[in-house]
Amino acid sequence: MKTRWKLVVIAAVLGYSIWALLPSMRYYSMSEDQRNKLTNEQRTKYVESAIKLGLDLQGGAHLVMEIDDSNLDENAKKDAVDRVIKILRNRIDQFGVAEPVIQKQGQKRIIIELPGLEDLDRAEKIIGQTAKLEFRLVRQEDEVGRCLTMLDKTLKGVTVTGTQVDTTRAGTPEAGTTDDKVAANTKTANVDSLLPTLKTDAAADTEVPLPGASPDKPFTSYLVSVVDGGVVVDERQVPTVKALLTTEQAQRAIPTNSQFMWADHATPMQDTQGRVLYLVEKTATLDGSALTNAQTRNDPEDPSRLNVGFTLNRQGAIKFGRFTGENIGRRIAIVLDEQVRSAPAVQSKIPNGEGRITGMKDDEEANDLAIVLRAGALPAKISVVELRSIGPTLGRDSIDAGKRATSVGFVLVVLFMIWYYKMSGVLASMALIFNMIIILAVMSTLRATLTMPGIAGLVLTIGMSVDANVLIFERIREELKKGKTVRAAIQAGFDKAFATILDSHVTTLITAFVLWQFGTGPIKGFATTLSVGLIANMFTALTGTRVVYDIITSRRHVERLSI
Amino acid sequence: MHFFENANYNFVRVRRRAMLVSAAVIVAGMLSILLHHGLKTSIDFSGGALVEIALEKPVPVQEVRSIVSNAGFGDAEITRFGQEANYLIKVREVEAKKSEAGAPGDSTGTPEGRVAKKLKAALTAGISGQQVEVRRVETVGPKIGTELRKAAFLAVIYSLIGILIYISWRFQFRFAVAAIIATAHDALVMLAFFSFVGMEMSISGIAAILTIVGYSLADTVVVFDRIRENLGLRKREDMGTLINTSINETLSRTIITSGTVMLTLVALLVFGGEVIREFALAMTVGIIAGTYSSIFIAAPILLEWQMWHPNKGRK
Repeated sequence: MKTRWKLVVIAAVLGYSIWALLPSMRYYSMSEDQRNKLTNEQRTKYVESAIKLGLDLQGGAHLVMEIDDSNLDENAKKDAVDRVIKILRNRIDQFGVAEPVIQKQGQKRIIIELPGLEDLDRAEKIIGQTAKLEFRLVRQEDEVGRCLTMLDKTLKGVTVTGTQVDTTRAGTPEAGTTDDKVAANTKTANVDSLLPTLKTDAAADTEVPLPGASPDKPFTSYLVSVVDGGVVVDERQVPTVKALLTTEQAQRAIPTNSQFMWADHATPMQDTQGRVLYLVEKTATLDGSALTNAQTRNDPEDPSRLNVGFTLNRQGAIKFGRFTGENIGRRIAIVLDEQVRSAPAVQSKIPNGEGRITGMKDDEEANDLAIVLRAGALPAKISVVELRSIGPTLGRDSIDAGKRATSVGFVLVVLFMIWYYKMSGVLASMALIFNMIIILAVMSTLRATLTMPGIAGLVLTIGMSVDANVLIFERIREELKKGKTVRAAIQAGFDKAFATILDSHVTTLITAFVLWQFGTGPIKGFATTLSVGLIANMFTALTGTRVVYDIITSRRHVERLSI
Repeated sequence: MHFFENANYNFVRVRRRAMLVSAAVIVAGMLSILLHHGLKTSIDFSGGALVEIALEKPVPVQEVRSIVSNAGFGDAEITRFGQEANYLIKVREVEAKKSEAGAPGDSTGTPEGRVAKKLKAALTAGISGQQVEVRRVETVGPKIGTELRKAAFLAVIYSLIGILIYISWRFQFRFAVAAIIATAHDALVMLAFFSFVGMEMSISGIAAILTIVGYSLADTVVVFDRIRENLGLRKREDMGTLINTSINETLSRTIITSGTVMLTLVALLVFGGEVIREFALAMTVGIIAGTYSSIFIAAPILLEWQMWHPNKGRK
C-alpha cells in the first residue's frame, strides 16, 4: 500500500516535469527558420513557457544604471526610480528590443537586460540620455562682449595645468612680469601635453597652432571666432576653458541672470575643429514637459536629411507664441541636456506650438531623438555603473560548451556508478536522469533563467546528486556484511542513511540560499540550479530508489542484491 | 567492486602532523597574499573595462599590445586563449587615471565605458586585413566593486552563522565549531591557491568558495553523523578509537562522492569553455581541500576538544 502511494507520487512528479518541459524541448529543437515562421502569438506562448536562457547564453546586454537624485527634493526622491523606470520602459519599447527586463534594485539602481541586443552604443545613448529639452534666449552681442571683458579682468593671474586651475595668484595682476610669462609658457605647454588624450589622430592636429593664452587676456585669448550668436573655442582647448569657467573668479564676471552653455557638437573650421560657447538666459522659457509629440520629418531645405518635429500642448503653444513674437530677430537656443543643439534666429511669431530640431548627424540620431523626446525626460540624471554585453557567438559557444560538459560529466558519472554498484548503479543513474528532468522542470515552472554558471551548477549537481544514493548503497553494503538479509539490509540502510542525507543536504542548502541572496544575475542562476538539484536529489533517492528496492524485495525472496 | 572495504587507517594518530601541514599551507598562502598586497581582483571588484575579441586568424599578442598601448592603455592586461585567435583585454582602475576626463558631448558614459569604447574602436581599426568580432564587453564602476566586496564578506559570514546554528541544533555546539573550523580551512586553502597561481578573485571565485563551503560541510556532516551514531552505540569505547572508526566507516562514501564530483569537474575543465574554467579549477582545489579536511581536520578537532575539556561519561 505504501509502495503504491509512492509510485503515484513519483508518476505525478515525473508526469508534471515532462509536461512542463515539453514547450522547452519543442522550442529549442526548432531551427532558426521554423522559429521565424511562428506567429507572434505562438512565439510569446513558447517564450513564456520554455526555459529562459540567460544573457550570457543568448547574447545581449546587462546594464545597471544608477540615478543621481542629489538635485531632487525629498518628495521627488521617493518615486524618482519608479518614474525613471516608467520612462525607460517606454523608450526601450519604442527602440524595439524583444522582452526587455527592467527592474528596480535597491533605492537608486535599475537593472536593464536587453536580450539579443547588437548595437550597444546606441542603446546606451537611448537609455542614458536625460532628454531634458529647453528653450533659452541667447544673449545679444553687446551683453556677451561686456561679459567677456569682465572675464578677462577677473581671471588675471589664474593659471591652468591641464584641466586643473590654480587661482591662488588671482587678483594680483601686477605680480611681476617675468612670473606671468613663465605662467603663460607653462600654460601653453600643458595645453599641448593634453592633446594626445583628447584626440586619437593627434598627428594632424599638432600642425595647427593653438591660440596662446596671453596674460592680458586670460579668457578671450582662447577664442578663435564668433558664429551664430556664440563664441568659438578650439576643440582641443575646451576642457581648459571649461575649467576656467568653473572658477569662482569667472562666476563673478558672469551676469547673475545668464550662464554659459556649450554646443553639443563640434563645428568644422579652417584646418581644425571648434566648439561654440553660448551665453544664454539662466531660466529656460519653456521646457520639454510641454511637449505632446515628436516625430521625424524631412528637412525642408535638404529632403535627404531628417529633422525632429515637435508639437507643444495648448499652454506651451501660447507661451511659445508669445515668446517668439517678442523676440523676432533674436536667437533661441534649443538646449538638450545642458547642451545647445542649435540656436536659430526667430524669423516670425510661431503661434501653433510646432517647431523642429535640426542638425542631426544621421537618420538614426533623428529617430533616437524623437524616441527620447516622446518618452519624456528623466526626472534625474542616470549613469551606467555596470555593463556586461555578450555577443551572440560567445553565447552560442557557451551553450555548446555547456552541452558538451554536461553530457561528458553525465556519461563519466554513470559509467562509474554502474561499474562500482552494478545493477544498483543503473538504478542510481536512472535517479540521476529523473533528477535532471525535475531540475529543468522546476526551473521552467519558476521562470528561472538558465545561465552559464547555472549549467556549471547543473554539471556539479550531477556529481553531487549521486551522493544520496552513495550514502544509501554504502549503508546497505555495510548491513549486508553484518549478515543481514537483503530485505533487512535495505530497510536498515535507508533508515540509517536518512538522517545523514537530511543533515548534509540541509547544510549545503543553507549556503546555496545565502549565495542566492547575495548573488546577482549569473550567480543567482547557479544558486538556483544547485538548490533545486539538492532538493530533487533527496526526493529521488528517498522515494524513487526506495520504491524500486521495495518492489524487487516484495515480489519474491531475494538472495543476493546487485550492489 | 569495493574501495576501502575494511579500511582501518589510523587517521587520528597523524592528526597533529596533518594540522601542521594545513597550517603551513595556510600561513604560506596568507604570506603570499600579504607580499602581493592582497589578492589580484577581477574587474568585478577593482572596477575597470574588459573587451574580448575574436579574429579569423591569430596575430601575435605583441601586435594587439601595441594597438592597445597606442590607444593610451600601456598597462592593459592581454591574454590569448581559445583557438589562439581570442584575445581578452583588461584595463583596471580606470577612475584612477585622469586621462579619461569627460570629453565634451558625452554626458552619459562613465570613464570605464569610455575606455571600453576606445579599446573597441582602436582594435577594430588597428587589426588590418581581417574581421574583428567583439565578443564581450564589460565595464564595472569602482563603487560596484566596493559593494560587492562587502556583500561577499557578509555572504560568507551569514552562511557560517546559519551552519553554526543548524549543526548546534542537530548535533552539539562543539561539532558545529569543529565543522566551521574545517570549512574555514578549505576557504583559506582556496584563497592561498588563488594567490599562489596568481588567479583573479572574481564573482565566480566567490561562488566557488561558497559552493565548497556547502560541499565540505556536507562531507564533514556525514562523518559527524557516524560519530553521533557510534556515540550512542559504543558507550565504552574511548573517543580516539571511536572517531577513527567513524572516519574509516565513512571513508568509502567520502572518496566516492568526491570522486564523482571530480569527474564532473574534469568535464567542466576540459569542455566548459573559458568562462567556466577558472571556476572549475577553484572548485577542484576546494574539493580536494574539503575531502582532506573532513578526514584529517574536522573529526580530530572534536578529539582535541574532548581531551582539553572532557564530555561527561567519556574517557
